[in-house]
Amino acid sequence: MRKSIPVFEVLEAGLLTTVQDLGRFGYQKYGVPVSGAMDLFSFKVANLLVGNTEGEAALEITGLGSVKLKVLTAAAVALTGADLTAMIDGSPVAMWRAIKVEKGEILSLGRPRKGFRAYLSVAGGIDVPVVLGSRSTYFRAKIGGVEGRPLKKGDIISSFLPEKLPGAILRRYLPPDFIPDLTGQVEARVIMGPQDDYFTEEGIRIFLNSWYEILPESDRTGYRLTGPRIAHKDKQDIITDAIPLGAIQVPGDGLPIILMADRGVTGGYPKIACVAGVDISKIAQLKPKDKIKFKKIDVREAHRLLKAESEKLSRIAEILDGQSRKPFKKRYKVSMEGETYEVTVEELPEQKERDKIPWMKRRFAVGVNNVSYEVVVEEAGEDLSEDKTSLPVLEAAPPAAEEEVIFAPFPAKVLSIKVKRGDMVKKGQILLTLEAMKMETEISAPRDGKVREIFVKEGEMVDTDSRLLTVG
Amino acid sequence: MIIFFTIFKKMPEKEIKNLIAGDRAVFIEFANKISPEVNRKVHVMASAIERRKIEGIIEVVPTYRSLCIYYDPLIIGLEELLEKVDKIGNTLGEIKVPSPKVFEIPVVYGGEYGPDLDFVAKHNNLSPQEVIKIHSGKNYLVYMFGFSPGFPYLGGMDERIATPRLKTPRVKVPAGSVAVAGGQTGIYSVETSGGWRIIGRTPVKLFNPDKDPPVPFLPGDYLKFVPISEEEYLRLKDK
Repeated sequence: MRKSIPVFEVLEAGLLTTVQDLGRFGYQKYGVPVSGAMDLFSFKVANLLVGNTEGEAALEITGLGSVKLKVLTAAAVALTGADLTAMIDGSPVAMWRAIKVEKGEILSLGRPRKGFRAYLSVAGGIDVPVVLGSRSTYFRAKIGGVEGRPLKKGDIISSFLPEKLPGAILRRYLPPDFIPDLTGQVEARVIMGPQDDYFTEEGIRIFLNSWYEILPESDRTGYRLTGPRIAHKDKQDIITDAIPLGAIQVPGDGLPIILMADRGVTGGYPKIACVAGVDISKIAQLKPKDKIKFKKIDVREAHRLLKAESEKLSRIAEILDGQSRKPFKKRYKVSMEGETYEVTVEELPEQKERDKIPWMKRRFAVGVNNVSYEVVVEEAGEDLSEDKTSLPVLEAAPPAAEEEVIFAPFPAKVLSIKVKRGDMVKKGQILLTLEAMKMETEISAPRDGKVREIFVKEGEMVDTDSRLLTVG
Repeated sequence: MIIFFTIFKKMPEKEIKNLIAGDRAVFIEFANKISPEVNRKVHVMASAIERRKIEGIIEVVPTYRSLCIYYDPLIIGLEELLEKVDKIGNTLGEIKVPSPKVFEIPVVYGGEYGPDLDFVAKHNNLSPQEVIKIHSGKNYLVYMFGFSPGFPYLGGMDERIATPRLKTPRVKVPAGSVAVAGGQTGIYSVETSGGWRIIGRTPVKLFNPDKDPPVPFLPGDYLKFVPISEEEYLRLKDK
């Protein structure tokens, strides 16, 4: 049995943070969707960075709302995928590399700057029960992940104990050439069919020559698009059949839907084309209002691309393992009570027979004036750097502004406005509700005051940082 | 005891179509219609492929009239895959499969368990008792699973109780709800939203993720609805 330890306490969960792995295979014939990480490239790299195999469970954090995780045990972690303004205790965090988080630190993520889904891996992998062969959350049937649902405040996330030395893990970083460029525009390659014969020639021409925009109703099930409509020849329904990942359905309204990780196993709309496997991860990073265009390739070309992608991941794994092998070795001059010592410190690599060294136990060869010692440093669990003697710091309250403008935290639809201009509101009172990716979120008053201005109407679409209202 | 029997002595396979569905799936389409015969071929093909354990095939998904084969192109090439699948298709007539089973599904009809029973009756100029009699009076073929985990697509409902869907779907339909939509009947396997007319509820768990397989019956089997009392429903539910 693998041992696990609590690593994070969820202080804020955001709108959609789930545990995912590579997906649940072998159960689609019983109607169970595959699920799994939406951006599999970023997900796999996140695991490789912390020395895991590519399929260990990790967190998928959507760029919707604020996420705050309190570190319960020092751990090696990595963040990949979308840039969601990640911070540790208020300082920016390096992405695409293994980093150490310390007990008591708070890792926060929020506004999406680039991309839409971030992955947080932990050395050892996240420990949640395996349901039907996978740890992936499929919340519509309440299976996988943490109790079959997205994370919520108060959840404790545990990870398995890693087998690699932390020192070896923390040297890992992804060379910049491999980091995907997330621009909010994707030209996705597609393989036509299986039901492209349901569409007119003109319909197919439009499909392959138009830019489409991502609608806010998009979610882990699928991306709904708006743009030029694609005409059916005659019938708009097929006899229900299977839906592969990336299949592009066109229902009667002529607007395409790209089916993603949480798609139903089967469906009754004709599929004009399927996205090439290598381009799914790029689509997974699109957010509402981003743009997509489709380019036709044949299945052989798609297979060549998949092979190249798989070779790229093997190459990344090799590079990262190479970084781990480079041992820590340094020379110091240490002066103690007037005497100077020449000290060399070298971290010893894992030994085959002894590589079950527990987490946070590191072995060093320390040479002092040419005498060599083997030193084992083991974490005893107590962080002595926590300053227990100092007085509680009074948080300086920011000067009260005349009015406070409340901005939209992400692109969304204004579902309902609960206040009118001139209303007196209390801190924490719900002002309005927004809807994005089929999830509702409430915006509450940051302080007591009067609603001075309302800039939006119910049903209106707003962008990140659009002004919603002012309270003063 | 499982009884084996041979089907499709001489099956013309000319109408079988292979359709490319992206770079990791192919559809073997047997016909473009819903019929028990066509569906039977799909399931025989599915179990034949599964038993062959071909390296590179990830899983197969049988539906009404086609079989979707998910494969890993890094392990098996498309040509090689289709060649192997064609070979299996040509020998379908010789494949022995277990005969289908009939599963009894106890249902408490009407009342709070089947809030739309009266509507279905009125819509068809029948009494609620007649609706129950017609609905529980025959065996339904499980064509496939889909829509949600463990949701069976059933065939063969009597047109006399056909009823259109709700205009506005219910936000929450309890798991186990037995329902009618158009000329179809089905059982909600997990709690979800839905617009079918609910006429009853079964205590049978249609989707149990703690079991493998997570479903109590398989595609190709038949279901028979058996009316039960509320007391019996509660007793079975607690089991």
